[in-house]
Amino acid sequence: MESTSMQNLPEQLISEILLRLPVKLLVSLKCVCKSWFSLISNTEFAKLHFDLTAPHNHKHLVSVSVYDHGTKLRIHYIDLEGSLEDRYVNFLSPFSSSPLSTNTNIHIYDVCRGFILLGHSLNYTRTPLNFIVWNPLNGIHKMFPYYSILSQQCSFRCRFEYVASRDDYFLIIAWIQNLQGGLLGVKYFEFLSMKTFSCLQVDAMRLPYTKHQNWRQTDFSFVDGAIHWLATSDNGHSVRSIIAFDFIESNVSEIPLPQDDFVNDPCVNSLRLEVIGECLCLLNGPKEQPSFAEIWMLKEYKVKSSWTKYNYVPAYVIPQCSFTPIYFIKGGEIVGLNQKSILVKLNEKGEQIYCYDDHFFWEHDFHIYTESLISLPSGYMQA
Amino acid sequence: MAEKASESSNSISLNTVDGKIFKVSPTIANQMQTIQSLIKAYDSSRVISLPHVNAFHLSKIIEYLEGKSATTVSAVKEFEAQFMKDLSLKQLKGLLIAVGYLKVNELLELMPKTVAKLIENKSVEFLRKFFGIVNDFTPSEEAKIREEIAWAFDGVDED
Repeated sequence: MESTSMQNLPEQLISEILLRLPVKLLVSLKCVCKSWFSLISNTEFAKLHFDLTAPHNHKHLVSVSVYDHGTKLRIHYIDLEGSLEDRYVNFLSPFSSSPLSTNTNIHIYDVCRGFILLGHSLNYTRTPLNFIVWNPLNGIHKMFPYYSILSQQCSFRCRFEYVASRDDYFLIIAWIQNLQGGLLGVKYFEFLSMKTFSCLQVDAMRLPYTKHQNWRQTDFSFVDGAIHWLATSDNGHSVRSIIAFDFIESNVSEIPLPQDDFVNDPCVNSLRLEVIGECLCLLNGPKEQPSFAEIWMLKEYKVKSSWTKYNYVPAYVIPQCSFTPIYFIKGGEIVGLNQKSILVKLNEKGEQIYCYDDHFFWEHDFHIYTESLISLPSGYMQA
Repeated sequence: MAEKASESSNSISLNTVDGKIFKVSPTIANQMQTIQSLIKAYDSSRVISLPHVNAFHLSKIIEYLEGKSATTVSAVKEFEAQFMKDLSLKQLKGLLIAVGYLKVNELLELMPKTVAKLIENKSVEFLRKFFGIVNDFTPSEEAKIREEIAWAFDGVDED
């Protein structure tokens, strides 16, 4: 081909072309020239690129480990969209000022729009010494000195989430405590803004419904700027619903469940609330043998009529039906864990088409990652 | 005959840089944002001069805007694929500049995507040549950047 064919293209058109390139190539093109370097590093460019490409990007399950004497972090990717093939990529460690020792236990707590929320600790305890937010693709990162208090004797769940209405990221922590009757429950929530570093504390026990909720107490699902949990009210007759707490607006609302006897039966305790592909989902065990286990998906947020039912695994395939769905693929395929804790991909008939049997997974190890070049919001000091 | 006359009285005349006059319907003209705003600013009966667009490029844009009104999604996809395939790289560049100038939104989506596909998995050296870009980094500056993003160079064609 003519090697000089695209010379002197106006900058605007070059930008339109670069916006449509895969993220890895884009990073390598930072060394083409100075103007490309600053274009590709530009915050607005990165956001546009994410909006244009993220819907088509492959989603990956990711995990991380310390590599090369602590100077690098190695990310393990498993392609959920393809045939569950995996690869390793070694990135410069964000802990470069004080390299981690190779026996440091480093753990992903959450992922969001290309960012990874990491915690690391020594001696294989799960309580992190430090939280760090890191985008491996552009190296941007920030440590949270604030959370050195995590050494206190209290367990927690945490998430890193983006709130579009504020164009801000939040570190959300649910502090767990023992409730009466030996149950665990959230004591209070903390919402730490990445823009202002202000922290909102909310006493979870004063939120409506929380004290009636009677299973998976400590879990919450985040979608559309609000945290959600399943709850049962006990105003005479038990009514089950999803409670949404919008911490930005500080209001609590209720999302009705689908019209389904099983879902609404408060005696059924196999029901779980999850977020799959940015939609709230109710996961159901099988009703009777032989039968299908079900997923109800709220396709349009807060629109009751958009609850849609999927039968995902014929119960005769997995007798105890301990299949844990993780990710839906357009066209009806589903990725999840089978009863042996092995990652499998099933077709719409529930037949296994791929499996990843390199190692076992734990339920909390699933972080579905989309790569990006996004920076942290402005007003935000970098480490 | 009378009907045809009223139709052509509605049509908009575009004069390309190489002196060819094109008559297009308002539906076609309005899909070129630059022309749409010129029509608003001027009397539409006037001939609109396009100093940055030649006859070949304008005819291609009109061909695209007429052709993509196919009935089915797959027919549009097929038409778009053929349309892009028929262009040489040189034509692609000229047309892209014309499309950028006239602001034809759909082609401003399709054409950069086509170029992006052409250069997927190409090396830095290839793309400097392709876009005629002079490397203004010093060797040590470039080496430093390459070291920071070493992972991005795994599995790239070096031709």
